[in-house]
Amino acid sequence: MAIQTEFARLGVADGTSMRAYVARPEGQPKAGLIVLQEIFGINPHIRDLTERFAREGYLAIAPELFHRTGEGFESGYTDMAPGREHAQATTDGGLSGDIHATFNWLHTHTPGLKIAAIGYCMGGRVATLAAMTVPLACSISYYGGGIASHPFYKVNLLDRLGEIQCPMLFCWGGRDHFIPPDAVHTVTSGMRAVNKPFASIEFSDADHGFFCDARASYNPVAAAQAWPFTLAYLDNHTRV
Amino acid sequence: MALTTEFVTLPVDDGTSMRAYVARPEGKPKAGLLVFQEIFGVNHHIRNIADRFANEGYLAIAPEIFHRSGPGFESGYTDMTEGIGHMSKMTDAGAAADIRAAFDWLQNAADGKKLATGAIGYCMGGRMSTLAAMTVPVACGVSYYGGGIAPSPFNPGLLDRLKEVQSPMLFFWGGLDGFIKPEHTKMVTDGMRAANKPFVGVDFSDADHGFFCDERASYNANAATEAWPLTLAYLKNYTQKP
Repeated sequence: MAIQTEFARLGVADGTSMRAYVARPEGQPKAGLIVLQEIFGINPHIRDLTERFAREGYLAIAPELFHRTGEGFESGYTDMAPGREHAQATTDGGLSGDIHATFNWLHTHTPGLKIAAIGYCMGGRVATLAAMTVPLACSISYYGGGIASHPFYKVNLLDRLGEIQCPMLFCWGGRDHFIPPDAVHTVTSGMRAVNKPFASIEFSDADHGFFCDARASYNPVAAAQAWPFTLAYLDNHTRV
Repeated sequence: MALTTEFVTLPVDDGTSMRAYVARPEGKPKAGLLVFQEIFGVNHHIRNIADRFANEGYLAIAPEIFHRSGPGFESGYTDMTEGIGHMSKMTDAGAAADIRAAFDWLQNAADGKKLATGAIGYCMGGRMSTLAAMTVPVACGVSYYGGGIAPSPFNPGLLDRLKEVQSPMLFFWGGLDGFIKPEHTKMVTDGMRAANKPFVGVDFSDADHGFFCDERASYNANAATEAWPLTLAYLKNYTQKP
């Protein structure tokens, strides 16, 4: 399917403006999808994912969550320091504004269609935040750090899981040093305790970032299994 | 793809004989697949699953695990008594012999070429596919809501044998399963981790035991249609060289 890509500029409620990478499917989209970045910015991997979802029929938009401190920031995977610095400068209030802006943009561009979110690494946490913030059809977190306690994120989301308004899919890597099995268990038992529907998949021999084919931790076997599962989950929850 | 189906009778090494339902794809199979039944026998649902895998290119065989106490047994889903009765007569030694018989049949079924073979099972069959991963050189095992891997009212479980698992395993669980609660699921995944065995674990929080069975009240269409492409991708990863 031929897709079209562009950068859009979105106004955010706090008066800032945010650039976002947009990938449009050919013809009428089947749903809208918010794609939430890793700490490495809207880099080639995130743009590629946005395009892959557009080829599957989604109008996909990846907002630059670091727009307040580093418009246009993108980095490779060897030095995490700059990305971590930008991530630590974000606030949940600011991210909520960014989520609202992106959701509203999709709502305008996909009238009558459902909207979902998916995020990777830091974006997995933001996808969870999005599920609390705007009326999504579903939300997906790949190795989302900082949902449970995490060294890089000041605020975890455990005591806010009751605010989640849509089904969630969580994907985890069993070798993720930042999100050990105990942290995964904390999230899933927390979701269960507040009676929120979710699906959770753990790949025991995959590491953090297993889906990213530009990264040393890429695990093609886990990625090849996670992809059709994710598409089926999205389709089930966004179909109109 | 047109498939052909038949019942075959297999010799088991304890001297018994076992009927099995076979579904063959058109043309050369991609791989072999052992399909292990629920306590309801090799009934319409299990035959249908074998057919679905054959439609995906697998040579699928569903052995009658209750052949010693109830050859030809099959039942509906409302009365579990009879199925539980047959299950309680099973032994792990008998089950291992049945696994070897079905596996050997698959090995010899494709014109002298040994087929890479996976195992998949549902309910009681999920325990069987775990046992198969300990017993024969399957490429991978898949368990849907496998009871009796963790200790259950019917079974002491397989936790202390998980180190014998020889292939990657995919486990599906329903969060609403009254027989296999989240603490049991955790025992299995913690046990696999402790034994350093690779696995994928999937929990559908709002699905019940039997969520994949479209002939059962507990059928969950969302969970089933998400589990299916994952299962196919998993089987493909391990049974077919890229």
